[in-house]
Amino acid sequence: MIRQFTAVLLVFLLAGCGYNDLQKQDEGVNAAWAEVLNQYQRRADLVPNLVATVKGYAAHEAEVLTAVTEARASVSSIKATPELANDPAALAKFQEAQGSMTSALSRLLVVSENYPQLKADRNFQDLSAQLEGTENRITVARNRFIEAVQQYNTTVRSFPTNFTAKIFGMEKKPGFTVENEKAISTAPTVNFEQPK
Amino acid sequence: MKVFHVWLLGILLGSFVFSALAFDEPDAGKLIPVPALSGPVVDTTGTLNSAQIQQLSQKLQTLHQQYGAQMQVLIVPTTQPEDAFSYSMRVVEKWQLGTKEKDDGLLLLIAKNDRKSWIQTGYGLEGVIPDIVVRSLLIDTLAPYLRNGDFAGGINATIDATFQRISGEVTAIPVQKKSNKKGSQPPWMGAVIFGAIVIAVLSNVMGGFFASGIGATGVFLFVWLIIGSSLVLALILAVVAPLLALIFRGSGYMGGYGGGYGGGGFGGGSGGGWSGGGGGFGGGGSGGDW
Repeated sequence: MIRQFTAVLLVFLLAGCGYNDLQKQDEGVNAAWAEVLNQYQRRADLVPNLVATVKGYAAHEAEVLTAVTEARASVSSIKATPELANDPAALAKFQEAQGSMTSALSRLLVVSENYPQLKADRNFQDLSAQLEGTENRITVARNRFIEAVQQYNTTVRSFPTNFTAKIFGMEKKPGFTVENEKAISTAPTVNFEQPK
Repeated sequence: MKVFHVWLLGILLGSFVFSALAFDEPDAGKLIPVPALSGPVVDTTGTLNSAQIQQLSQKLQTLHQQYGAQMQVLIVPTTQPEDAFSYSMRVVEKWQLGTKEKDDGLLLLIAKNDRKSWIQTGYGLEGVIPDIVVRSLLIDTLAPYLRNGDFAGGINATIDATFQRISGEVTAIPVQKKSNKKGSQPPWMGAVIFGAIVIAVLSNVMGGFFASGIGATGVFLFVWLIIGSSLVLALILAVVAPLLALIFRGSGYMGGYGGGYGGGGFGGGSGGGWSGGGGGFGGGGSGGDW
């Protein structure tokens, strides 16, 4: 009975110093990150079909097509693990790869504007609708990840939860940086910089 | 001592006001605000007359009862400076249409002066209504009506086409009102915390001893008889609740915690029981113009 009582008391003491909040928010960050990866993966999965469709009408746009294919290769060469979100250097690299993918895809869409037959292709219409939807989902997932990290970091650094965080070795997490965010979250439908 | 208390209260209040000012929607001045969720059809432009609103609302209510999915119509003059997607995203994040379990909410947004429409699909409906289907709903079904200025007719046809898909996929799952969620925490945890809060509040009115007695008895009876835990656990919790109340009262930051959570849930029964049920949206859907 005493043991049970102590256990219950301990639960509340821990709850009082923010241990539960920290755990909850840590899980929140993990879930948000998983969604980010999920949506980026979804985009990467669309690429082969998209490239194949565009090739059918505009095979001589080799430069743009190669850029997209290369970007996809570099994206999939990075192991997208949950732990990636805790490593600032790896996260920056991941962002850079996804960013170049975004700009390669937007250039592909800009180029495809010049091919009326391609634009009329049912398959291409479907794929670009899917791509647009995926870009929107990526934006949402990224924003939620940023918010989750921010909330977690605030808890880790605020009094008195910072002591709890120290005791359990929970550190500040890196988020997406702003410059990269701009580059990545620019949806491909928005006119991007002119291809050289 | 008393002076000190007043002083402390001042600081607490001051910091509260400050934080409310500092963190509540930084750009709220520039962006179009999200209107109140007054019913299944919200029209801030006055385009639809009250009979049309009544009729469409009735229809959406019935379909909601029948299929579970919660579809919402919103007509605004413009979404500028945001695009239709960003604005509708803010709307669904606030309204949380659909249930928490199924995420089966759906928002049809019409920005009248922008001549743009957008449908946001909840997570649970992304499979039934993929973005391509949404696009076709907006361009093939809705747009022709809007071009003729027939808003009510267009909305009506879009609702029909949407639920044709939902009903084909989901065969009559009746809407469940607030099923009790089995969280990871044991059921008595809520009872104790609630009891402690009641004690903390009551003891301001009638003195700590009396309040503790009432609260402890309440917690004991609730845990033992209603939740059905063991007698020993119920007794322990009856003792813990007043102790916890002491902690709550002693520490100023009772309200400070848990601020970030909460969210929907307590929708309140505005508009004849029409409120969001905590449904999640991830940016699914598509847009069109006319």
